[in-house]
Amino acid sequence: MQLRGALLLAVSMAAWLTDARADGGAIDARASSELAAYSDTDHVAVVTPSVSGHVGNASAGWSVDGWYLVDVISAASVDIVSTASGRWTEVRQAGGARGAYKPHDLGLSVEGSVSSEPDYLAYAAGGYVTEDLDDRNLSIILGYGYGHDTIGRTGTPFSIFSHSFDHHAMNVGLTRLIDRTTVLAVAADVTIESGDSSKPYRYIPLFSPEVAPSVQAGASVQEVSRLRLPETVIERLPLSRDRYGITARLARRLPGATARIESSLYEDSWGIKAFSADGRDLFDVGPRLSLGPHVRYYVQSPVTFWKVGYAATADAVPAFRTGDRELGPLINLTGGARATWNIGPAAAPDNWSLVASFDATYARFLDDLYITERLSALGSLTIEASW
Amino acid sequence: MVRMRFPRQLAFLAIAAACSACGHVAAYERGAIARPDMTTSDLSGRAAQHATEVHEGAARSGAVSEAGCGCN
Repeated sequence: MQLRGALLLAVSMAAWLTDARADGGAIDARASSELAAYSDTDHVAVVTPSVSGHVGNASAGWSVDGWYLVDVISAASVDIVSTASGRWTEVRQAGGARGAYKPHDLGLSVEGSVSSEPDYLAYAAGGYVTEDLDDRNLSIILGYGYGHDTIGRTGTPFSIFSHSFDHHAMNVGLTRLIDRTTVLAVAADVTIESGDSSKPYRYIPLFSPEVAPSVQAGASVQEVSRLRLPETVIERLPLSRDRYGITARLARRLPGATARIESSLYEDSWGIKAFSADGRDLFDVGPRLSLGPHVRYYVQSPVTFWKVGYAATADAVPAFRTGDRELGPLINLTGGARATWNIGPAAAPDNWSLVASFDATYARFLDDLYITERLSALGSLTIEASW
Repeated sequence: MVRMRFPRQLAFLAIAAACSACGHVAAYERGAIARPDMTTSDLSGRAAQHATEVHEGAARSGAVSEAGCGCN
């Protein structure tokens, strides 16, 4: 029944596109498929095939986009091993759609996304208003989005066990043409989260008050097992979080190359302060090939309740505790490359293109149990077609 | 331990200074700006964006960031 509905929708879309072309509208369409693979030294591997599509009419100002992906995740990380669990494999499916209408200087877009795993269900929806000013030399964007996540346990229905959290995100941005070869975009984001985002599988070892100060960063599973109290508790995070970020992105076309730099500042009510800087150069290597390096630096301070060893007594357990490394102090350094090869016909070489990218990231965890560093690699191959 | 202090006022001043220095670019002068690699959106693919979201505590901002974790 669902297949029949999808076929009817596809036939209707095709007929409508044909009518639109007959009416003189310049319909443009794009489709792409990406296959990505991730692996790291903490024994996590992910394979992600995805597809996306776009149909629009630039002169009429409308467009529709959609995407779908599958994450196949296999993990035997030290956090899993430390709880005497074995390797697990999980599949995540996610998809989204966006519709936009911008006939003149004022535009509106709405979008939504859904993500589903056996123990995690999330959806989000939102919209943007954009306006071009100063003969389209300046664009302003205002956005709002709402999301709802439900976190459970594999094999247990959400109705039996689950907890959820909501997030409201607002952003404002502006894009300015600096000159004929340079564009600058600046965006500020505020996200208000409420609810329980703790992970039900994340067990936190506890130590006696006398032992806790002596627990060292990078302590092994065996050492932690020797020092810790017999009791373990699950992660417990504060029930609200306010997040603030500002990002600036600059792109400049040079003779034979495009340079892009991006930097972000971030702060939240849990105490994380973060800074990132990202740079990319894309050199024209012949008429059909562009190739260039990518570097990224990221550093963050920990949440205020971060401890490498949490102290507890028979009467008192820390109200908030986590083992999530991405909430601790860390530094990430990424290096990689990206190549785009236009393989379309001579009249329109960029109607078909292959994009290959590879990034390796070294993460240094400054105050964590079990591991103090992680090396990860992510490669992807994308084919894009437009007509 | 990482301790950070942000010179936020300096960041806003730099952005304001950059914008005040802008010239007017006519429509027929925007050939370079129209290139796909000059987009102000992220050039990373969807998988790379999701990996960044999982690896950085500051990620997952924006009005509609991708739902879901993949790390539970």
